[in-house]
Amino acid sequence: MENKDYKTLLIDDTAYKTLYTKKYENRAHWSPEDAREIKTGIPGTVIQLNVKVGDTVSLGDTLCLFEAMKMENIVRSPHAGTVCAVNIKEGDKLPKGFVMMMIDEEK
Amino acid sequence: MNRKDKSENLNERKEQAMHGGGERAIDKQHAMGKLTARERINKLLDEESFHEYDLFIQHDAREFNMANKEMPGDGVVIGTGTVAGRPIAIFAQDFTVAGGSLGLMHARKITKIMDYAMNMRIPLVGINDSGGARIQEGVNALAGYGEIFFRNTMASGVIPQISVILGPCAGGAVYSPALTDFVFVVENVSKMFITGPEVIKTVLGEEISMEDLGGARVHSEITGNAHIYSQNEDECFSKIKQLLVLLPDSNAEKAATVAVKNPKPEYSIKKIMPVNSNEPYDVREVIRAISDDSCFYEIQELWAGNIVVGFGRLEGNTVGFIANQPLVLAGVLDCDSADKAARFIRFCDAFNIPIITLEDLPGYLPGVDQEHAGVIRHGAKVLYAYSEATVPRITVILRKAYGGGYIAMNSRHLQADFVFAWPTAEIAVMGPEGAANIIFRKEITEATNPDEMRKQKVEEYKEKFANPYVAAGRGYVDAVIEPAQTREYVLHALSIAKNKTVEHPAKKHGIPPF
Repeated sequence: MENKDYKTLLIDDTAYKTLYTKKYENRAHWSPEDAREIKTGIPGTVIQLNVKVGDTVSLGDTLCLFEAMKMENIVRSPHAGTVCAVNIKEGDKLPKGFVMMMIDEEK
Repeated sequence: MNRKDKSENLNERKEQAMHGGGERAIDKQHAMGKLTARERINKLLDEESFHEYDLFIQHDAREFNMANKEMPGDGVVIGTGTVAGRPIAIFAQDFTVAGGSLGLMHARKITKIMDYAMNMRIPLVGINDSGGARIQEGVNALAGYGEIFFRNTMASGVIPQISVILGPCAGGAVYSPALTDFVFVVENVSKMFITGPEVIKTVLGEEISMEDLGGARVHSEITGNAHIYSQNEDECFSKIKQLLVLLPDSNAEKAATVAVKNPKPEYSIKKIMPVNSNEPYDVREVIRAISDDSCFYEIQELWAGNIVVGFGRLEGNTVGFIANQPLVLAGVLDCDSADKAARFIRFCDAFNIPIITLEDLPGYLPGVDQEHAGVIRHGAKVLYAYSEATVPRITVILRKAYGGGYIAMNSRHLQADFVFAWPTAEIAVMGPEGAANIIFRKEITEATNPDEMRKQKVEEYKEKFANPYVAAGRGYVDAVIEPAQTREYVLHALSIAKNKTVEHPAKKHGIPPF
């Protein structure tokens, strides 16, 4: 027991001396979402890019075509606004959670 | 053909069929560090007790020029035998024959032995070592899996079902083990996944080895799909034998009683608990200090270590122990530990095994990941499983019993039969620090020395509430006992609860928060 790599776990203001599990140490840390970010939900390939920086888009406009799981997915704008960043080009293979572009929301 | 020739003919046929996929395939199996199906069966069963059925079965693959292909036994061995003198039914997939692939007749052999096990009310052991569905048999292979899953479900809670993963078990095939009670895995041998590394690479572009995706370690530490981990096949079979002797043959029986032995003297209950109540200790030491001969057969030892579950014996009878483990994550409840405990409670309840709960937890694990993973729904499983269980249920509160965790761990309020507490028990709505910060917020913030005031208030709260006597004063605790009296009190409680009879309101079934 003496040689173990003890850590501290805080519960209701009390610090407990204990061991962590691998799963607890590797847990995902949460951060608030940036509404401007258009992210990939699954890994896939960009097959068509429809916008460039500076474009004004309306809610539902097609931003790009993204092939994933053998399906051609239409990525639509979640809000009206201006494209302020584009991080992809046609043919790019993207992992899950990749920020494809950013769209400033219209006030 | 005369009588002698007929006997010779039988012997020839047997010899041919028993040879499985032939010399080369058997050598290949051995080279992979794996035993053959029949070697495995003989390792598990009592010597010469195995009786094989359907040895001469013919496969049903007609398409793709398969009709004339030889597949002895259609890639699976089935039969009955004994373990420690008690009957079991067994099937073992034979990887040396067409990669143990599952076709129609292969599945029929398995469902036949499952039906025997159910009708005879004896445990079923299934050894999985198969490349998956035999593609050439198409939808018939799928039908075979479905027939197996249905029987696994019908047998659930009636006979103990054990799955042993000794090779690949991929795609739909994984759902038979997942429906059974205990899944045994072996390092470097077991591989279980729904979609394999190749599909993951093609579709997602992620490269991962079979071992990292669904090896024995992964299922024992990360997913919780496996229950017992072994380094090699020999160790695995000896662990299956140890488990089988602890279990009854069916839900109509109680596990066999063995000779009573006192706990081993090296497990002294007096020496376990640290003085400081925020310090860890290994709760398994407490279990070993209570259980006959200090026997403890731990289930899912490597997963969700913040709760410990497993079988022990008290006065020769099998009991289930569930204990918060202060050594890991301070013993909190979280999604995984709740799943682990709830399932174990339901197994014990189904098979007439009394449940002994040893409690020491500061509450639930805080965190966005936990909340978003549905700790509410998972945590509710523990409440549901305890509340529903009609086997004798005894709780010993060793130290902390705070808040929702106190209620969940087989409290009097969930109709525990007996609740005992050690003098070190702290049964309260939350820990002293947290409680004092809320109750005395005003006094603390307005004090000239807030830290000093907080310390004083925490001490006040501790003195008044961090003990077993408030709960005992309401009858929520039946008796406050010295740690050294634990075994005696639990034994007595079990003897009193021997004929426990509790009836649930009539219903088809409840709706647990799966």
